[in-house]
Amino acid sequence: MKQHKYIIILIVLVVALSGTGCRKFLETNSPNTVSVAELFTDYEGARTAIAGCYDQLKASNYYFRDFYVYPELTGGNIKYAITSAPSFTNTYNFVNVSAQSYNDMYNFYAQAYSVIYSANNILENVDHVTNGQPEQLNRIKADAYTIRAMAHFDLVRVFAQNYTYTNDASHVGIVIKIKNTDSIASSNVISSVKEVYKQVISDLDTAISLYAVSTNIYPAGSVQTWLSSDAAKALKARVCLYKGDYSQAYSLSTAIINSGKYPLVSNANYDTSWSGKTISSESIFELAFGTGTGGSYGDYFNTKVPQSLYVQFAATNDLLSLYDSADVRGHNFLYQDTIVKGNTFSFSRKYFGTGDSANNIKVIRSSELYLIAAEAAVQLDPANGLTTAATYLNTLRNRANPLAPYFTASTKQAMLDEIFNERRRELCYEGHLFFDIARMHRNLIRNDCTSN
Amino acid sequence: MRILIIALLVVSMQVYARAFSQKISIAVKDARIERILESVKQQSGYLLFYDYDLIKEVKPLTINVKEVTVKQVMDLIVKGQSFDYTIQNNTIVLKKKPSFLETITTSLFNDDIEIKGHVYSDGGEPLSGAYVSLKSNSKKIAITNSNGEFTLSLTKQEALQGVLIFSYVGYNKYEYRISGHRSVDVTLAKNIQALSDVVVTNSYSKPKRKEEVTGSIVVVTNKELQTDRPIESFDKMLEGMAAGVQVETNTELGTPVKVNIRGQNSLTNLNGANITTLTTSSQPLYVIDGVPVMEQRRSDEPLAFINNEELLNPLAGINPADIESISVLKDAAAASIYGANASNGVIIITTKKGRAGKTKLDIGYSNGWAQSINGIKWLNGPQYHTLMKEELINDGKAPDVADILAGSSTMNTPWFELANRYSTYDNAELELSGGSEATQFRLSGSFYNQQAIQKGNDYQKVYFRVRIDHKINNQFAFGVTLAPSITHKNAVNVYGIVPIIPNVPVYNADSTFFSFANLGVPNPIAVITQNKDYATGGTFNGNMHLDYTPIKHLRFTTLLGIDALMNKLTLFQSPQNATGASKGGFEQIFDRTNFSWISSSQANWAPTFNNVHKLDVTVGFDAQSEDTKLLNGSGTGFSYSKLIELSTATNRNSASSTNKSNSYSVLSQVLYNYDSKYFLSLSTRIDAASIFGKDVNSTVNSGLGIGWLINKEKWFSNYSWLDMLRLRVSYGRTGNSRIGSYEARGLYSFSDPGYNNVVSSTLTTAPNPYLTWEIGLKQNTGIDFSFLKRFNVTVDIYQNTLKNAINPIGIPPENGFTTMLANVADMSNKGVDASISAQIFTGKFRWTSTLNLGNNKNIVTNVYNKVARYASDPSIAAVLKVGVSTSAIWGFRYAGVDKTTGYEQYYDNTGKVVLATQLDRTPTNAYSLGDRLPKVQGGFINSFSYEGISLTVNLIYNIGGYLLIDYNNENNGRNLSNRNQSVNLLDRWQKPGDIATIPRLASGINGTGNPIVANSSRYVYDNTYIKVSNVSLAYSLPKRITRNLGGMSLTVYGNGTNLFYWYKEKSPAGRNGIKEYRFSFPESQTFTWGVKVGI
Repeated sequence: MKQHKYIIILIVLVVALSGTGCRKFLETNSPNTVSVAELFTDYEGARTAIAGCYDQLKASNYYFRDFYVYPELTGGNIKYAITSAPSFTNTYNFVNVSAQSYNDMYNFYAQAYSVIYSANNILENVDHVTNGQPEQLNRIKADAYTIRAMAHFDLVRVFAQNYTYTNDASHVGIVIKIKNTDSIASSNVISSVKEVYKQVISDLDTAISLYAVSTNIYPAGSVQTWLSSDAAKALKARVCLYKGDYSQAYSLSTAIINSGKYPLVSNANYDTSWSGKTISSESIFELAFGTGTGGSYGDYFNTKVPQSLYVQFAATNDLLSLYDSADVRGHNFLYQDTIVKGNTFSFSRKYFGTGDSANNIKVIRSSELYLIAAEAAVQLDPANGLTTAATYLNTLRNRANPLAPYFTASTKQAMLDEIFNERRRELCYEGHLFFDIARMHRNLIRNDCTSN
Repeated sequence: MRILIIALLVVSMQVYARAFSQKISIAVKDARIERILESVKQQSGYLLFYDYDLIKEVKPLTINVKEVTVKQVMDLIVKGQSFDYTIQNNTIVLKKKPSFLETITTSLFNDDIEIKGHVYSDGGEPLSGAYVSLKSNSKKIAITNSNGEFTLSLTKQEALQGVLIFSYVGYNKYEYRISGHRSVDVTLAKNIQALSDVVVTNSYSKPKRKEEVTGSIVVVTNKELQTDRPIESFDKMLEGMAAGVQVETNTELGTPVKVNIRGQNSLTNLNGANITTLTTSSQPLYVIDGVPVMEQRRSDEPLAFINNEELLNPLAGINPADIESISVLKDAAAASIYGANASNGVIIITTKKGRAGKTKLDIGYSNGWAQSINGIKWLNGPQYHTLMKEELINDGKAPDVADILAGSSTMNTPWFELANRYSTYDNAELELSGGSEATQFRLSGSFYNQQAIQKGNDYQKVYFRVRIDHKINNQFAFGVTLAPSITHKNAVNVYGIVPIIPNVPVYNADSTFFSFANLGVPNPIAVITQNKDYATGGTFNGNMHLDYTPIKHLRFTTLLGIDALMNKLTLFQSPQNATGASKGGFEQIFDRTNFSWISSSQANWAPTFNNVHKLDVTVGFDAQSEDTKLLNGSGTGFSYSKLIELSTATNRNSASSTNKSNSYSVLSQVLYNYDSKYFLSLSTRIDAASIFGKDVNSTVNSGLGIGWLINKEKWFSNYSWLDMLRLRVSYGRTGNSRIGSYEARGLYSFSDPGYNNVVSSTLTTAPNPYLTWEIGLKQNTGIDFSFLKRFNVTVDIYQNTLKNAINPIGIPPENGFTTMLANVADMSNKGVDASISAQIFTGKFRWTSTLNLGNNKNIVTNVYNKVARYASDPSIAAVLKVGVSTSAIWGFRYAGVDKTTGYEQYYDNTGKVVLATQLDRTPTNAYSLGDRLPKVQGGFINSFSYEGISLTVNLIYNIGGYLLIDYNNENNGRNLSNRNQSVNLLDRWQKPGDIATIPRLASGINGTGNPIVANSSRYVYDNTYIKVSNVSLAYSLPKRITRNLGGMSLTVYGNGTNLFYWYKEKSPAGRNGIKEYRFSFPESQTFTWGVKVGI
């Protein structure tokens, strides 16, 4: 009889502990990863995926560094303050390297296509969700279309000649991905620049129409840190300017300016709009960075971090000399001088960050729309446009320096030259210069240059 | 189970008899009997055995004799007492007199004679469980109890003419002609041909006799492991100890090491360290007393942990001294019972259990110190200044400017010496073991304290282990093991691999730490003083099991085991130095818990039919669960640097992660042998695991082994010099389940805190319809033979094929990902493992020698067409190429320095010499510069003993195998402004006409002249070496002395590790070579001494 006690223990142990080996026991998910099919079973899952796309835009291979450094360095706003192992040297020297790991922009290329893949994946799966209002799903789709357009547009600007390089833009562009394909086996076709722009505009138009029938779905963050109908329109204005579709560029940019939703930051607040966490009033879309992010985009430009890899991008004299001494954006205000190995360099204080937290990255703001409007106006109507252009241009000039004399030009070229310079003054470090030079068919001149 | 052994008895009591006087004189009045007996014992030199109960009632005696015989004095002593005595082989045994009734019954109904005695090992320990049987009647059997005692009833006839056979596992059998003796004490000698006669083959079945094993298994016993060495974990101790097992050592305390069984069993990750998608694990499965140990890291953990967390070695949770034996399962016959986890081999650890008998206490203490050896020689201050100045001039600076920019020309700060030290080592341990027939226990505890030679780095460990085995009755047995351990490790990263330039000071004039602007590295002395980097971890490994034997040959076992690892890592970068200055101090805490449990149940049926058909069938099932929980917190902005809790940080961040996987397996093993001559084993395991996803529900793996014990054949007796000869053949399939969960289905991972604090997920793994599981096919042919009763040889020839090997490959980035896991290739590991051991001298002076070697050749046999064009990594130029090893070092062949310009030159793919700038470094043009893993590696262990002195010398060797060193050490001066470099730079090219191997110094800012060719044959060294890895010398008090001390034992020993290196490739005089470059942080040489006392 005594034996039974132990036999019972044995049976209980065997059954209770091993008998769990049923199917359910094996259906364990690792909670921090979810399969694609499972994520898109509900609207909340789909929303995490679109929020993830924004996160991807923030990558250092994209807006946080590579994509913003590239046009500034090649165009001549930046020079190296350090001599050992600086970054992007091949780009700076226009050295063409085929091996991807030596290509400074390879990581940006991969990241942009990764963003496109994510956006496509959302568009392909979002209709599988079983809950969610149509307005909510429309918002997810609209954001996905806008992001897909941004990524294609950024890629074509870096990896192809400008739109007006050939008369009909039939020159080689980039691979358009509007459908995800088998990652290993598929091969890709490079489209012409014209086709790329067509796709970008089509995506933005789709987004704009979807935004009209959507609702806000994001529970946190300022609306300016999320894409919107205005952001899609502002981006479309930028695309149209690059494309030479000046009437569209003009009407889109002026419509947003006139809406008054994104007033220019005042002269007094200009400096602080580049530090801290306050959203700039003129931002139409900025990428949000939380606290404790451990660094700022500006760390690559400024001297806050005493590590050699960071303090490498100093402002060129070419850029600094463009500013009037009273210009709030100029050397006396938005720059900081530092001695590196015996030489004095000026570093920008844009994106200086707070503590170890990064600033938000401004992707598009109304100052740029003023410059788009000015340029489109003078291009559309070289005669009457000069006055319109001067109005937009001088609004910015006087905001930066209330004492600046009113600029007028008698020729279209003189006006375009000044718009170019003003773009450089206002939008430096925001990823424009080299693209502007190419788009406006200007000569690349780098006087203060450490290149060989 | 009847384990009988071929043996012979060598020594009986005469060994211990001494030439003492046989005449005894005693003159005592009213003395206690113990004193009198002790006096008899001392004067006669005889051994004396008695039960204290017999004499405790005895009144004091008065005896006065002079020069009488032992017998005479004993007769006097026992006169009128309740006990009698016998003298047999110089041993006096007191025993109870039979009562009147007993005497009557014995003489009337049974004329049996009781033969009593003891069985001892040649080490003097009583052997419990030894068999004593009568040769003429196998039914007359006795088994010794925990004191080694036995009693056997024989007829008078048998007692006069019979022969007793004494046998014990692992000892030589001894036959003893009784000739009427009533008391027999024997000492059995260890069987030298079968030092490890019993082999733990897996955690599911009972240990098997060596000859029954058909698989390829290496056993390393505790003694062979030499656990007195100052090495903190058993996996590191295995280096050179087992044929075919390669341990890739590192120089950091307490970190995991790589163990390769028969070569590398998975593809080298072509994406180097940059890609976090891990490929399948190449590490063996470790099983401690039936409980599998979780790998320290899963392949699908979030980046925040993979990138920053430092790991503690989970295998350091077991005290090497607690290990009874380690079995390394190398082929399919041995390992396939572990199915989907067995691809890389399995290492089974069996811990010591308590021994019935007198409670034994062993105490040990050892202590020592260590110094660094073979460190890299760096430029001193003035040399550095000269070279820096030269580089600046080459870069176009005027000499006077360059002189200033190059810094001080006189200052020389010996950074290495300042950051390192002679370190100390302490270890104290205690073991208590004992018990009765029914219950045995063993308790052990240990404190281990080792400093690293690098300041701020040390390692402490507290181990504890309890094991209790209890036999409830004839049918039930129960056992429990609990083994917690705590580890504390300080590992302040002083950027030991980034040597600081020598012409800057440590301190400013005001004795604050000097801060180097723009060097990119902090002041290491400031870091040691101000930063913190420590890990406190605990492991808990335990199991309980219940055995039920309802009828003969049938046994049920159920085991519940847990394995847990907790690790809290705290990193603090002080705001006072460059590491944390910009953030106002930075603290990061990683909290990891790995929990796993296993429930394992088996039924075993082991009948024998017709005395020749022996069957052993095991069927079982395992349910297993592994759970990893990670928590990470970080903070910046510490207003008071002495209070570094996250709660005082201005900014805080946190992240967490949970990974869980369950698996369920059914296993079976059938062993059959015919007449202990022909052996067959077949094991199969079905694994179903949550990690496989729904597409693949389960995988089946199995292995077959056949063995033939040739010396059992009749004709074999012609070869009398051959003691044993055996052939083994095996074939089977194993798997590798260690791949992230749901890898084939496309995965979204959640990032923390998400964009704009909205939960965000990103696709981290693309859906991959092409991914299937790896298949490992293992084939092994082995031969074992021993001859001349002195030599044992085991040779195994194997071929392991890995099909569908998984690797991340680069894919067109337009498709959304740059890398993806895919089945890309087939590869094979072929080779020979061998071990030869010899008892060269077996007399008073003993010399035992063991040589083991593992030879392996890896070849990629097929690269699948679909992926061939992506199977390369441009950044390291690694390629998967048919016919080349997966561990090949890919790179470019150095062609020396251009005499006129001083530039680095290479051979291009046509063999033409080109400048480094012109070299096309696409992977397809790269050469295999050598295989990282050795052709042959192993150990040569020699033990000598004479009386109580023993000496063990371990040699470890490595033949073939190449090493690509860090190019930064002599990088043409490119990084000279940031870091110090090797003295080899002194031999640089300086002016046209110079013939040099080191190019002209230049910073190479513009990518000309000095591009970095990291994988240049210039940095590849032949890693062929022989090392005297350990020498230990011990002295134990001889048995004759310790016996008189009540069985106490005493051993003192000294130990030296890493005493001597011989490298095939010599370092040039005063310069660095493989000897110095091999470890970026130097190895240490440790000297220890210790003492062990057994009571």
